Parts: sequence; structure tokens; C-alpha cells
Amino acid sequence: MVVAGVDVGAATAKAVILRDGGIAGFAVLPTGHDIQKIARKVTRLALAKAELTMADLHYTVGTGYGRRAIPFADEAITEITCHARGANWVIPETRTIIDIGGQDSKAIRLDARGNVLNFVMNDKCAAGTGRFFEVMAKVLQLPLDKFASPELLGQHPWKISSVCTVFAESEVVSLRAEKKSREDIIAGLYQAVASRVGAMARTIDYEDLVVFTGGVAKNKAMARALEEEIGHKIVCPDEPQIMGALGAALFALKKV
Amino acid sequence: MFEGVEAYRELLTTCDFSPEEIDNELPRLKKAFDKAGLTVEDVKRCRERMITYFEADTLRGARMALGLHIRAFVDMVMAGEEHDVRIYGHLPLMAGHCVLGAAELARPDAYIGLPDLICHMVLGAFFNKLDPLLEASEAWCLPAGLAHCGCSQAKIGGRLTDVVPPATLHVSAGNYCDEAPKVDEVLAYHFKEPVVWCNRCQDESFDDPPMDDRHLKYFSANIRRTKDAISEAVGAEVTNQMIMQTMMATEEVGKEFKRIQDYRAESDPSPISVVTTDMAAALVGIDMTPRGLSKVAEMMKVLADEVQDRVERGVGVVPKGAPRVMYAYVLPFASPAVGKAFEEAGLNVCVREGYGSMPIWSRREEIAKLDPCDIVAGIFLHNPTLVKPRWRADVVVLGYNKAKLDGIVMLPHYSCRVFGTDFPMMRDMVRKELGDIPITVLETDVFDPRYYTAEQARTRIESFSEMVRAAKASAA
Ligand code: SF4
Repeated sequence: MVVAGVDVGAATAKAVILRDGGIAGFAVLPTGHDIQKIARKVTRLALAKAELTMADLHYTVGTGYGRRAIPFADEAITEITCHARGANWVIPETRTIIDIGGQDSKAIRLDARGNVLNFVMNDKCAAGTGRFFEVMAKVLQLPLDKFASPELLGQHPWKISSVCTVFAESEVVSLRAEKKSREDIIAGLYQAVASRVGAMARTIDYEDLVVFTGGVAKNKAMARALEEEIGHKIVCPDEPQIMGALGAALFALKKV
Repeated sequence: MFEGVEAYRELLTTCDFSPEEIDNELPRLKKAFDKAGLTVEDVKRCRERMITYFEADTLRGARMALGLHIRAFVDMVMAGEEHDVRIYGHLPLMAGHCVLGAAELARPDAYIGLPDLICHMVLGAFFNKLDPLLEASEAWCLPAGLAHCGCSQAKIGGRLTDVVPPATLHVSAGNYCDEAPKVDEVLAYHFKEPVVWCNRCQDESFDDPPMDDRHLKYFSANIRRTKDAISEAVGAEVTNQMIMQTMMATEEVGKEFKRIQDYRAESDPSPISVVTTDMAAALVGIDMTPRGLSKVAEMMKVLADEVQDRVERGVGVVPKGAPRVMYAYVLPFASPAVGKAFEEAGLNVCVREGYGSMPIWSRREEIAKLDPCDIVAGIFLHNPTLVKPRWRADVVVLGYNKAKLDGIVMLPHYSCRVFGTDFPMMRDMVRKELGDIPITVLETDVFDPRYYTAEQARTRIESFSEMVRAAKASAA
């Protein structure tokens, strides 16, 4: 039995293929402007890794902000519900998920079965999302992967007072002009995002085990800053970006 | 006739105007719409929204209610030309309605209205064109980011754009939040229009109901002072008898509205959309004079009968068995799409905050002996929804249990001084009583549509729906 979960987010599209209850393949691609096209492409890619084709699919669940625009999906389920299910499958002890994606961030509290108990979501402001790091990496003239490296974190973080991406950008430019160390500025930026996301997560009374998902969870420096902010150990799954697609695929599996 | 007249006619037909009424009203309506910057395109879109969101194609009561809103808007815009005396109440007016409405009995040719609410409903909910008012007030004295609520911004914007004509007297209320009287100083300063503030003292302790003698006396003294100021403005005495008469007229509307609320709470499938219900309910605040209230009562009866008919035929707006949730909120004026999004996500928003608490008229015997100003103060101070988060939470728990609900939706709004803090506390208190039940606090802005869209909220609304369903399935 082959099923797919397809998560079309603002920045990336992800697909997970389950065959006989196990992950047979997955793929991640930038979303671009054509949701239908990218949904097909990423699904085909994930299927190809499992040596399968679209014709092999028995059921597909779409998720992410583009969930309703996936033409071959049999059903759409929100990314909140799918993330919870995906994280619960990979790490059953998960009770809180902090997800930072390309253009939003969310915190989800779940029960032992992966059901959502409470959630909070920031989809209004780029501060506290992957987009924030992209903008800051550009200002500091660093490739994103370098920006994400813990080795580049300074010991004396500069406090970035602005909670807005645009104003934080000006703040960083001023700090650079004052010849402040780039490493300390980067450390300050991570602290700023961690405090913003931490404050959001506090509203749902997070409890252990806290799992960090989404594209930004690959960023080790962010994970560390978040851990310090919330005072809880944070676990990152091996593939934090595909939790939503995996959850969608698990829902699909229940349907066949 | 004028260009696009057919669109105006269609709009008025959708609002249950008879052909003769259309002929009579059209010139006034056109003039008022022009003054408010509403174009023929806006008129077409407004009609579409009335059908999409307010069940104007299927419920005559809804059409009547829409018509009453449109009439109220035209009357307000034209009041500068048509009335020598204009008395405005302002949101959040709360306790002052009956006193203000009674002024019509003292001076039948005066214009009495609540321009903020009229603008929010007609320009906001129906036309989706509140922005010019909000921007006008931002350009003058309440810049965005200054943390003034959209409610207050639209009030100042209405006067700045002349959509709302100059007032003989503004009645502002500092009994619910402190934002309104502060912002209404602008009315006194910039427009040189007198304002009377109907305040209550807000220094009661957090836990105790503010029903001691001191609070009651202070508040009723303020209501009396307001009554005197209104009497002076209209040049005739507003008597206690008039206030009582207005209260009775409100009661008539309340009885019919309660029928609708009970059908919604007790029927499956839900017979009427929460969006339609809220739109009709808003008229209680808009048409607060005895004359206006009798028309609202007539509309409410037609609507309640239609709802009853739907119940008997098993007709619903969401599928039978849909999870049942409560709205805790003030009316979502700016965007009917939010309420609709809950229904599209398969939720039955069947009760609102306050359901299950004692209706005011059940204490009629007890209150009939009192001075009307004491009664108005007492009613307000007894109304948990309007006073304290602790009481509000108790009433939410009561309604949740009574209506056997599956979840609670709290809708705070951006920059609101009251709701922003009430809801996080209430969510906590409710959870302490009811455990980990599905509750969502969905940040929107009931007044300013620029801060959210239903589309943006959709993921949260659908996630909440999925969460409620999962909790329901686990409990089964
Ligand atoms: S702060 Fe809140 S309660 Fe006060 S006027 Fe504004 S919206 Fe109304």
C-alpha cells in the first residue's frame, strides 16, 4: 500500500511516501510560484526515490498553506495537525513541537497519541521565521549555511531590541557601522528570535519533550539559542523539515 | 436618474425595501452613499457580500435586518441636513443605551444614533470600506502603532471625513474601558463638540463583583448626570418614565432574540449562521430608540419564525452532528468572513458568551421598584460579560456545560485594552474548571480589517476544527 503526504509551505514543498507503513522516500524542493506544479514535482521526486510512480499512489493528503491547491490530493489537513502526527510517530514522547518554517512559526502541544491539545501560530510577522535569518544573512554578507553554524556565534551577544525584521535589519546595519563583532551580532539575532518564539510557545504551557521542527530546526545555532531561552532540552529529528508531510502521509495511511 | 441606478435598486430589494420604498428612498440613499464615497461598484459588491455572508437570499428576516442597517446608515449620514439636534452614543456605550434611546421620546425630531456601530457594520461588514475612516484618524491624531483600537479610530475618522455629521452632544462611556473617554477628548478638542462621559469606577477588587453601594451609587449618579446632559441638549426633559419605556422596548427585542439563541443552542443541525445572527443582534445597539426598537422587534420575530421553520424542516447551515463551539467575543464587525470560516471548517458556533446566564427580565419584579438610573447601573454591574474576567470565565463555563459544547473560541482584537488581557486570563480560568478542553484564542481585529484576513486565519480555524474533532473522537 503506497500513500503520500505532500506539504506545500511558503518556502519549501515536501513529500513523503509511505509503503507498507514505512518511509519509502521523501523529497524537499523550493516552492516557487506554481503550487500545483511543485506539488507534482516534489511528489514525483519522492516517488522516484522509492522507484514508484504517481500511478502507485492509493491515497494522498495535502497539507501546508498550499494544501487546497494540490490537484491530486484526496484530502487536505492543516499543517498543525500533520506536524503533531508526524513528530509523534518519529518521537512518541513528543509533547511540544516548536516549528519554525520559512514564513511562519508555531508551537503545538500534543498528547501521547499525537492529538493536538493546543497551538499558537505566528503567521503575521517575518520576525521569528526562516525569512528573518535569510534577511540577516544577507545584511551580514554570509551564506545561510555559514550563518547557521554554532561556531560563528559570539560570546557576548548584542541585544537586538527590535522585534520587527525591517527594523532589526537597520539595527544590524548600525551595529556593523559601529564595528561591533559580526559573531556577537549573530548571537544577538539568535537570542532575539529565540525570545520571540519562546514567548509565543509559553502561551501554550509547553512541556517536555520539546521537539524542534521545520526548516530552521536544521540550524544548530538556533536550536541552542532556543534551548537556552526556554530552559528545556530540545530534540531535533533527523529530518525536521518533513514532519508535516510525514504526518499527512500517516493520515493518508489511515484512509486505505 | 443616475448611472448604475439598477445596482442600487437591487441592493435595496435585497434589503427588503418595497418598490415604493425604493422610489422614495433612492435619492436620499444615493446622496448618503456619495457622501461616504461609496460607488456603484461598492454597491454591487455589498449586495454580493449580503448574499454570501448574511443569508440574504434565503431569510426574509435577514433581509429586513440588512435593510434596517442600511436605513440607519443613510439616516446618520443625512442627519446633518435633516435634524437640528443630533445626539451620538459611542462604543463601548454599554449602560447608556436606554437613557440615550429615551431622548427620542423627549424630542421626537432629534437624531439619536450610535455612529461608530453604524459605520462598523455598514462600511466595515457590508462594504468592506472602513479604511478611509481609519486612515483619516491615523493621519490626524491616532497614528497606526499608537495602540489605539480600530473602534476608536473609526469614531474619530467618521467625524473627520464628515460621514458622521457634527453632533449636538456626544455620549461617551468610561464604564467598560478607558480608551473611549480618552479618545473622545479629541471630539471635544478638535471638533468643539460637547461630550458627556458616563463613567463607572473601575477600582473594584479583582475577585469581588462590583455590586457594593459605592460602585452602584457612583455609576447611577453618572447615568443621571448623562440623562441631565441629554435633556439639556435636546431641550426637553428625559424622564424616568421614558427610560423605563425604552427598557421595555429593548426587552421585546430580547425575547425574540432569545428564541433564536435557544434554537441555535438546542437544534442540530444549526438553523442559522452565527454571522447572520450577529448582524441582526447588532441592531439592538443601533436602533436604540423605542421607535427603532419596535422595528427591530418586528424583524427579530420574522427571523425567529423562519429559524423555527428551519428547525422543523431539519434545515441547517452546517452538517448535522458538527462539533459545537462557543464564541466569546464582541460582535465581529469588520469581517463576516471569519464567522463564515468557522462554519466552512465544519464547526457549529451554536452559542455565544453569556449563554446560560440569567436574562435580565427574569429579575423584573425586583428591579421594577428602583429608580431607572439605578436599574441601568445595576444591570450593567450584574452583567459578567461586561465586567470582569473572573465572572466572564464563570459564565463561559456555565454555558459550556449547559449547551454541552465541544470547544470554545475566544476572539480578542488587536489593540483592545479590555479583550487583550481578559482572554488569556479567561482561558486559564476556564481550563482550571474544565480541564484541557479545546480552546483557541484567535487574534483578529473585530474593528479593523487591515490587521487580519479570514484567509490568514483559516489555517488556525481549520486546525482548531481538527483539534475539536480529535478530542471528540477520543472522548467517544
Ligand atoms: S479598547 Fe477595546 S473595549 Fe475599549 S473601545 Fe477599544 S475595542 Fe472597545
